[in-house]
Amino acid sequence: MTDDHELYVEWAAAYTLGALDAEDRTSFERHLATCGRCAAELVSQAPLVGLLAKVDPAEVAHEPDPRRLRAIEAAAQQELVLMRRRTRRWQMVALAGVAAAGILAVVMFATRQDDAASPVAQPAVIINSVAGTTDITTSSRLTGASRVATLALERVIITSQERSDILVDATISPAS
Amino acid sequence: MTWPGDSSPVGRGPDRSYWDGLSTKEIAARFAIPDGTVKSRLHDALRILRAQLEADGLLR
Repeated sequence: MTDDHELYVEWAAAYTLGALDAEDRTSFERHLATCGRCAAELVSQAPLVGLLAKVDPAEVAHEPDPRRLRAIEAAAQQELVLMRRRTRRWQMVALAGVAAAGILAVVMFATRQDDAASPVAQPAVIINSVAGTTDITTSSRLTGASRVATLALERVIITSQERSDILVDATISPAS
Repeated sequence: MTWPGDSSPVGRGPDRSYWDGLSTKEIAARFAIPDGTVKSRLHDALRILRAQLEADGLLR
């Protein structure tokens, strides 16, 4: 805990989304080096960047419309097919973000692994570059075997491209 | 994507930030609201998004 945490408490989201300008970014990164709570906040947000990256802005940059959800689901399923071709070792993945009734929601599609209740295998490593200034690398593992899997974060590394610095390197212990 | 419960022009903030690549200060200037409000709304939006994912069992 640091004295200036209150000043920065709501900055993490803007940082994660690449919305801080250079001055704010430098200032936040300096604070981050001393603040475990802000680092934890960044870690909790890290997977969201990857999910948002899957969203086609043309699909959501309109007033919320429940019917639009089905179009987005169809797009996500197409994405799923493409990803399965690319990386056969993975058992899953396709994500789409939707805005329904003004509330953000993200729908994840996972491939069905027969009926088996076997946990899903390979970790998925996703690297997202935010505004060309920050790399957010997340390593996640899929758990669960139903049609919807759970994405469990294992490790998050946040790197500043400007300073070639690792700002956050967090390993998340698996929940039992 | 709009701010939860806010379809006004100000509520379009996440669009501007994420897809248009605007900074919080640029969004604040465009909508004539404080920069801190933009940061705060981005903060709330990601919190809600994450909570929704966790509630749906998609994210842990």
